[in-house]
Amino acid sequence: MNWIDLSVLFGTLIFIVAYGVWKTRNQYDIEGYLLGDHSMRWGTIGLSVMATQASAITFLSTPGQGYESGMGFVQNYFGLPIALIVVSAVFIPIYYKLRVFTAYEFLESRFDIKTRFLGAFLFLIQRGLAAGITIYAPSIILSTMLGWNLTATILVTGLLVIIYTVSGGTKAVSITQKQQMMVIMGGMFIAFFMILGYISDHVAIGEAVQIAGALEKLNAIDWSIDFSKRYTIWSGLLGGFFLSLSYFGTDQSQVQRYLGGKNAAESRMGLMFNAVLKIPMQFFILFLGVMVYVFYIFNQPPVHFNQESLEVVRNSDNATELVVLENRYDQLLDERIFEAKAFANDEPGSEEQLQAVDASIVSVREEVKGLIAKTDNSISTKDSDYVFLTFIVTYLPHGLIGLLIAVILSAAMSSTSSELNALASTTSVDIYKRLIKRDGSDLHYLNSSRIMTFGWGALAILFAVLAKNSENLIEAVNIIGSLFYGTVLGIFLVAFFFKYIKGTAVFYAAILAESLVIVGFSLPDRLLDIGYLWYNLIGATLVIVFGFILQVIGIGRKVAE
Amino acid sequence: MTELITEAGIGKPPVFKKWRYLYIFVALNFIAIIFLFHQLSIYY
Repeated sequence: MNWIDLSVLFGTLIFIVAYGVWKTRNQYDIEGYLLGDHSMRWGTIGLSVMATQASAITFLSTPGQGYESGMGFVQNYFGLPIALIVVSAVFIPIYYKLRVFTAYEFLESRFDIKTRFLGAFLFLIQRGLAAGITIYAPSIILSTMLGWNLTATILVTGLLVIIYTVSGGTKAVSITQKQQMMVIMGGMFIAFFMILGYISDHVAIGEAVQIAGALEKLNAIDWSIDFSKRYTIWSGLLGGFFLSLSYFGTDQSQVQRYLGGKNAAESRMGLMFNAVLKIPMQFFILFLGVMVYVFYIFNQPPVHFNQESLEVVRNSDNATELVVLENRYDQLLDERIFEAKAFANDEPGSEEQLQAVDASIVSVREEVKGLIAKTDNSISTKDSDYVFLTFIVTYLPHGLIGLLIAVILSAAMSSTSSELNALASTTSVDIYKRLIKRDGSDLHYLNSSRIMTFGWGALAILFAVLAKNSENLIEAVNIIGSLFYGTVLGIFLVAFFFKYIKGTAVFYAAILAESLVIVGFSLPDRLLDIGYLWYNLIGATLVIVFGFILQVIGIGRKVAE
Repeated sequence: MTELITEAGIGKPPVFKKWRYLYIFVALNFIAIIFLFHQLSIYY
């Protein structure tokens, strides 16, 4: 990175922060601070909901997923449009009718205070952890690739978010997210067209897509019924539906985005905007990753994308073994260019040859990963998160590198700001205002919410600084989410659809269900091997079933007596 | 609470009815996406 990149990067980030602070400088009451004075239109809500979900991890890991495994990951989002229809038709009318600040407030009016606290508590644990990961994930990758100091990167990202989130609350979060989404999508489109431009120096774009298809990178849908597979259309539709329903309907970081709407109609439109555009957006990012794969067929890719891990091997007794693997790798890369060009020219038998040489390349890469693990088993061997950033810093011109790093940091900031905003609202409304000080003035709650936003921000930064290297970042966040989401969703589904079940029964049912989900997840794969998306469905179903059983046997009544 | 839920209009036809064309559009759009992805998977 040179001064042009740094100017673009800091210019973009500082402009967004300053704009957010300036536009929301007159915040005097708690309703304005937590619900944005109900002034948001559907376009702002739609972009804000999208920006909250799309973190930096999305823009670093998803192209890496496309590069490594092709388009299959897109199935993860198949449950989303249906879930958003349910949230629009069922959840939004209730939230608006009850004029709640947080989703968990609703649980008290439907059940009782302990169920409200349980919902709020599960949210605070899960989102509190996720907020740390949201800052940490891009920081570790940026610091490794660009030689930045990890702690300084985390601190700068975290502090920039804290400035406008503390000062302007929900409105600042939504307004800045609109700018951030424009930077993000603008940057990604430019990167995409640059890749296509580079590829067209070697083969036509149509041929590039055919090469990707021959290497099975374009299999977007897997119809097989296999519970151990992470992404199939069934896990996407069912597990993804429950994950999305829980995320958009009960996770305060999303609920707060659409509760700031002018009315229920604006909120619905904002969600439908996402229901239509989210899958195409994910498809685009994955496809970009696939095109990076094709690009690297004609341009030498490193044998492993995390150079820091390779350095460890180079400085060890296994260095000679690495050199042998690298030589074999280089030879195979030359063969692959030859076969890819033959395939583009429709030469008979070239497709099988291309597939065979590509499989050999993948196998050498696996051997290198094995060698890294053999040298130091504490190092993560996954390098897919580094693929897109390696491409950016190696092949994009100066200025664009700065813009793309701004994309990644904007995405990190947009998700973190929603999370801090929601964590502060839940602590302030569901815990502080309900339990500790019930008769404070508006100004008192406004100031306490600001302090809590700052507190959660500081905690997220601390967690990010202390975090260890996680295996695959995007999945780590999803897995943490999935383990709690099912149970929280179960509580809300009972609240909305099963009037027979009362507070005490659902409370114990949720505790029981969450315990079983954690036990199930902790069991070794040979005993229980289920893709993590299924835990959303399992958790929610268990809460409903246990809730019924406990209500029938009169647990709620006995405890109440 | 039963009253509250009813008042709030869960599942009441008008809420769904008013928006049904938008929901149907979103659902059809989703089906079209799956169809296109399937075509992409088998064509390439």
